[in-house]
Amino acid sequence: MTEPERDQPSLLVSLALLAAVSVMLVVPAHGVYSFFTQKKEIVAEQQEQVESSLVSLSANVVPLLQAYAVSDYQGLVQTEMGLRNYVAILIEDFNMAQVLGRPEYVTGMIRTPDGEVMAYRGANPVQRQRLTAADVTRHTWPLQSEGVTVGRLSIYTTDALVRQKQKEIFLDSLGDSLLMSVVLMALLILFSKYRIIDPLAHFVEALQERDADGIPVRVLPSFKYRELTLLTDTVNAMLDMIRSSRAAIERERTRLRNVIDGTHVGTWEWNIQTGTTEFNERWAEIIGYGLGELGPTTIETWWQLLHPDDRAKAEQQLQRHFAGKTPFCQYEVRMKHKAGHWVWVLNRGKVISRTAKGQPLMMYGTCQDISEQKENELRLRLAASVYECISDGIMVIDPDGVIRDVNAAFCQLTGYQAGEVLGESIRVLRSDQQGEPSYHTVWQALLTQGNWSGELCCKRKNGELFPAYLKVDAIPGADGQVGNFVVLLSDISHFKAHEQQLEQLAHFDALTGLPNRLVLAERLRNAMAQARRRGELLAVAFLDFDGFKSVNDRFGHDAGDQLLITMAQRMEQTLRESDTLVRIGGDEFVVLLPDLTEPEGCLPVIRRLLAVASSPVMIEADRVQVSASIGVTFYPQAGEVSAEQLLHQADQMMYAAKWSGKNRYQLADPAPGPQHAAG
Amino acid sequence: MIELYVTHLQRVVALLSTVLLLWLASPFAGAAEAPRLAYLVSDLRIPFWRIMADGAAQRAAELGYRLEIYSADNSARQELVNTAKALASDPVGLILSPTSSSAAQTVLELAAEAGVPVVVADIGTEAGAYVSYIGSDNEQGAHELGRLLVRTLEARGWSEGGVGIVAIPQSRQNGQARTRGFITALKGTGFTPAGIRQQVDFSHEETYRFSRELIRAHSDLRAIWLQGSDRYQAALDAIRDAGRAGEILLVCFDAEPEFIEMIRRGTLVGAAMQQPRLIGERAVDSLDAYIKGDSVPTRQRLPVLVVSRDNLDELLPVIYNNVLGLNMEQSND
Repeated sequence: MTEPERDQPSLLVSLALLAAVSVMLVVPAHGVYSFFTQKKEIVAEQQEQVESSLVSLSANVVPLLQAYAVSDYQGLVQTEMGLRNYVAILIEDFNMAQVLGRPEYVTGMIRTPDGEVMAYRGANPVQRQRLTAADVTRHTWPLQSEGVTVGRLSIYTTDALVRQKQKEIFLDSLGDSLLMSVVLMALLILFSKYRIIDPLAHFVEALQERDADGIPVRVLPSFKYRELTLLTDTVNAMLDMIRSSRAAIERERTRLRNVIDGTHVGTWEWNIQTGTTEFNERWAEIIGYGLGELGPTTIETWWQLLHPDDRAKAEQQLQRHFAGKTPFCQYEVRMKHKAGHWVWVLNRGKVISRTAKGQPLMMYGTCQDISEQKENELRLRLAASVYECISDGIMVIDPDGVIRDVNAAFCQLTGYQAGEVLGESIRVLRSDQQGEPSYHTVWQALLTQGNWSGELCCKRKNGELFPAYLKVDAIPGADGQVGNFVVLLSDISHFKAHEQQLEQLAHFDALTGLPNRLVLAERLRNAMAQARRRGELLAVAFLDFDGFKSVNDRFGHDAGDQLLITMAQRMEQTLRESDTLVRIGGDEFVVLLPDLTEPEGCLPVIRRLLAVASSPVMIEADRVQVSASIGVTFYPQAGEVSAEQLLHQADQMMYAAKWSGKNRYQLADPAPGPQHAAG
Repeated sequence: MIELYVTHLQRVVALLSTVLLLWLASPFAGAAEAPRLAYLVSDLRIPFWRIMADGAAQRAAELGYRLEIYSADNSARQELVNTAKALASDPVGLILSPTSSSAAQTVLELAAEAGVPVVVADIGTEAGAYVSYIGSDNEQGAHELGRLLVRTLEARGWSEGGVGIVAIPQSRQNGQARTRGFITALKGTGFTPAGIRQQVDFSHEETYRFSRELIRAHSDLRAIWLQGSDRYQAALDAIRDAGRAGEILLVCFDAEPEFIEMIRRGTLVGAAMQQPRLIGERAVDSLDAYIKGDSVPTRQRLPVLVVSRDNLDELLPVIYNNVLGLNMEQSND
C-alpha cells in the first residue's frame, strides 16, 4: 500500500463511527421521544383505566349492593386493585349503612406506600391521610339501580405512580439505548468487516493481479449481497468484454497484418498537419530500401522519391480528396527505386480524422507495386493493336458456336458489320460446299483436340463464296475447361487462284490448252484400268504432223504455234466425249480412245483426225496446210504391257505410217502382237 | 309433609319453652342476666337448621347461656339486620350458620368490629376471623356410603357397572368433598362413576331429567347416587319410568324422616346422614370453651352416619336425636 492510501480513511472505521454516531443520536432521541410519548400514553391509559374500572365495577357491584353481598363486591374491588395500580377503591354502600343504622358504610381496598393492598378501614387515620394526600386524585362514580342511587364508587389514583412509571420508562429507555448502541455497533462492525470490508479486500486483491496490459486476470469474487454482487458481476462483465475486445482487436490486427502481408502492399499513416508519416517495411521494400534507411520518415520522404512528372497528379488527387470531392484518394505514380529505375505504384488513402476546423488531420493508405501490371497493360494494348490491325479476320466464338467478337479485318473480309454477326452462329459463314469437312467434324476436332486448322469455303454477306484458311484454337476458361475459341480467318482466294494457275501450267499445254504429258500418264493409267475392268478395248493413237517444221521455217514459230492451236481445237471437236487429246510436245499429240469393242472401232475417229489435220488453216493471210501421221496401238494386249510401252508402240506405229507415206495411219496388231494396217 | 312441618312448629314451640324454663331456672335469672349468645341462622324453616338450633339451645341452656336465635329466612338483608340486632344486644359470642359463605364474611367483619367471637356452624365462610368452624365430614360420609353401595351391589352378584351421580353444585366445598369421598370408595372395584349431573334449581323435574339421562346413556347403570335428600322421589320415579326398578339402586346423602322406612324396605340402599343437633351442641361447647379461655380447634369435623338396612335399628336412636331431631316417641306417633 502506498503512503497516500494509508492516509485515506478506513471504510471499516468510518462505518463504525457512523454507526456509533447514528446510534448515539437516534437511540437517545428515540428514548426521549418514547419517554414523553409513553408519559402521555400512561396518563391517558390511567384515565382510561379509571373510567373503565368505574364503569365495569359499577355494573358488577350494583347487583351485589342490592344483594347485600359485601364480601362479594369487596372481592371485585380486591381483584381490580390487583389488576390496577390504584391507590384505593372505595364503595360507599347506602343499603348497608341503612341496615346497620350507620351514617355511612364504606368498604374497599387501599394500597399502602410500599405497595401492599389491604382492606380499607375508615377509622384508620393513616389510611384517611393517604387518600387526602396532594398527589392523590379521586374519581367518583354513582352506583345506581333502577334510577335509585344505592352507593358511590370512588377510585383514587396518584401522580407518584405515573412518575414512577415515567422513571421506569426513562431508565428502561436509557438502558435500552446503551445496550442497543453497543450491540448495534458491534453488529455493524462485525457485519461490515465480514460481509463488506473483507469481501471488498478480496475484490481489490483480485483486481490488483493484472496482466501486462493492466487488465485483472482473476475472476472477481462474488459477494453475499446482490447489490455488491451486481458490482462484481458488472466489473467481471466489463473485464470479460475488455478481454474479448482485446482478443478481437488482436485477431483483427493479425488479420489486417495478414491481409497486408498477403496483398504485399505498403502502408502509410500521414499526419497531414505535422507531416509526420509512418511507413511499413513493405513500403520501403517496394522502392528497394529497408525502412531503417529512410528514417526518420515524413511526407517529404515520399515526396522526394516521387517522379517529378507525377507530383502534380498526386497533388491534385490529394487536394480533391482533402476538399471532400472524392470519397478516397487514388492515383498511380512512379517512385524512384534505389537501383535508379522507376517503379509504378498505386497509392490509395483516405482522411480518417479532421481537426476541429475541418482540416484533414490523419490519413491512412496503402501503396501497391503495379509495375508488372503496367507492363501487362502495355502488352495488352499491343495485343489489342494487333487484333485490330491484322489483315486476317479474327472472331471469338463460344462453345455453342456463337460469335462473340470480331475484328475489323473480319468485317472487311465478310462484308458483315460487327453488330450483324455478334450473337449469331458461325453458320452464317457456312458455304455448304461439297467435299469440305463438315462443321460437325470441325467442332468434334475442336472439342477433343482444342484446335483445328484447315481450309473452308466461306460465304460473305453478299453470298459470295471465298476460300479461307481457318486456324481455330481453344481459349481455356477460368475453370480450365474450354471457354471460347479464337478463329483466325484468312482469305486464300489469291492463293487458290495462283495454285490453280500452277496446276494448269503443270498439267496442260500452255499453247493449246490441251492436257500435257503429265495428264496423259494419269489418264492413260485410268483408261487402262477402266478397259481392264470393263473388258473393253482402248486405242492409243500417236499423232505427228507432217511438214510442221517447214511451216515454222516458212511462216515463223508464231504461225506454227497458231497452227498447232487451230489443229488442237479442230481435233478436239472430232473426238468423242470420252476421248482424250494430249499434246506431248512439239507437234506430237496422243489420243486415247476408250470404250472400243474392237480395234476397228477407232478408225472413224482416226480418219476424222487425219482429215482435220490435213485441212488448210488460215494464219493471218497465209493458207497453211499440213497432214498427220497416226500410229495406233491397243490395250489390253496378250501380254502385260505398261503405259509407257503402249505409247512407245503407238509412236512406233506413227513412224511406221510416216515411213509409209505420211498422212495416214498405222494400226498395231491388237493381239497377240501388233498387226499392221494402213489407211 | 304438612304434618311434618306442623311437627316441626311444635318442636320450635317446645324448644322455646324449654329455653325459657332453663333461663328462668338458671343462676343468672333474677339477680344477673345470663350472658347472651346469639345464633344467626339462615333459615329456621329448614329442619336441618332447626335441629341444629335445638341442639345449640339445649346445650346453651345447659351451660348457663341465654341463646337468642335469629333466622334470616334465607335473606341476606335480613341476615345483616339480624347481625346488627344481635351485635347491638352485646352478646358474648355468636354462632353463625350464614345464608352463604360470602355473606358470612360480612357478618364476621361486623362481629370483629364489635369484638364478638364467632363460631361458624356447617356453612363455611370465604374469609374473616372466627373461633372455630364446625361441620360434617362429608368426604368420610360419602366414602362410607360408596363402600356400602359397592357391598350391596356385589351382594346382588354384580361385579361391575356404572353409578350415576346427581350432584349438588361442585363449586361448594361440601359438594367437592362428597364427590371425592364417593369416587374414592369406588376405586378398585368393578363399579365406576358413569356420569355426573349438577343440580341447579334443585327441582323435581331437574333431578328426574338428570336421572333419566344417566339411565339412558349408560345401559350398565347399577345405581344412582343422589348427593341431596329432598329429591329422592324424582330419582325413584325416573328408575321406575325407565322400567329399571329393582335393577338400579338408589343411595342418598342427608336424610328425610321417610328414609327410615325406605331403607328398611330396601327402596333406598342407604343414606349418609349429617347430625345437625350434634353440630349445634358442639358450636355452643366451642364458644363456651373459647370464652373460658380454653383452646378450641379451628376446624372440627363431625362424623356422618351411614345408615343401611343392616345398622338401621342400631342407629335409630341416634338418627332420631341427632339427625331428625325427633324423639323416638314422636316418631312412633
